Amino acid sequence: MAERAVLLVAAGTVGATLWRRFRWPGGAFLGALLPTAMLSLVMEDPQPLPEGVRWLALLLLGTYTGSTVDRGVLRHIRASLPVAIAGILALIAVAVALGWVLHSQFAGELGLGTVLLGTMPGGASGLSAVAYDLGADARLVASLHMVRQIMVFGALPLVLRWLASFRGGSERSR
Amino acid sequence: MTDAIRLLAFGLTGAALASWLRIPGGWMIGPMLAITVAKVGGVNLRKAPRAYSEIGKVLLGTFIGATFSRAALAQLGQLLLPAIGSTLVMIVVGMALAWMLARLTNLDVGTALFSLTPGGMAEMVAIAEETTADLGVVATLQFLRYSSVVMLAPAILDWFLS
Repeated sequence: MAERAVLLVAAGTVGATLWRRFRWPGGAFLGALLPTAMLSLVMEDPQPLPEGVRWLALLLLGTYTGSTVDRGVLRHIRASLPVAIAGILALIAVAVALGWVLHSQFAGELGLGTVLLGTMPGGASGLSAVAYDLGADARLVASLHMVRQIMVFGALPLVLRWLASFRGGSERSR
Repeated sequence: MTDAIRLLAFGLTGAALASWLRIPGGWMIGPMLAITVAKVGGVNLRKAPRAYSEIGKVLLGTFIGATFSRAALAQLGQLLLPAIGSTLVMIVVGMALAWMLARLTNLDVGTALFSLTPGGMAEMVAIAEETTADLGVVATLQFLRYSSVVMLAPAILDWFLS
């Protein structure tokens, strides 16, 4: 277990360093994620890392993000909140509609609750917990979210290139 | 005490408080809120060192990568391809909504995109940090998305199943 954790962290660190070195889109996060994900997918019995690793990562990222907030950011948030909430609700509505189509056309004997929770745009951990509480299949919900994450992270380099075509959203040169 | 350590102390306090209050994603949103409140309240804090963000991104990327497994993918069976298709639709819808959000508000396209992409709060902040997107806005709107989904999911399910 400990050896695997060390191997995964080493793969993540090397990946992130190479990603930075060659300035590939997505930076240290994608650089660490992709080799680790590939290693986990080829391992016979992959094990998640201790939860403390995630807490430390979130603490550092949260502290960094908080230190970038100033009054200008708060003004931005206040001014764009109504439209942003409408956008979030639209995203949820589309996800629910897709879940319903998936269930009615492809899901076989899988319950509607499991498929709907699996397609909603929330976090895997949060929605798996909701699935558990509501009697849906929490493992399948987590698997559906894993597919979503793989697709989103896989598409990100392309999305970042699309973004670079807009003024103000371009990638920083490092 | 240097600013870097003071920031971490505020961050830890915020994380502990948010965890105690069971706020979703508390280990990220707690430090962010605590430091924002301190800064708005007049505490003079400089920007955190880049190492915080770099180490955070490597650890988070490694942690998420380690959760992937062939067994979980195999479990989906015939639902795998449709699930991939529906995720692609969600990505395109997210991009379209982000473009509209940028058009209707004073947010730039990058900030709007990372605020609405359904890829996880901390993960989107980690990616957004590589661009000129506004991190505070991205984190706040991602938190709003995440909490809305977790809060609305049981009600939506009830409605569908009744």
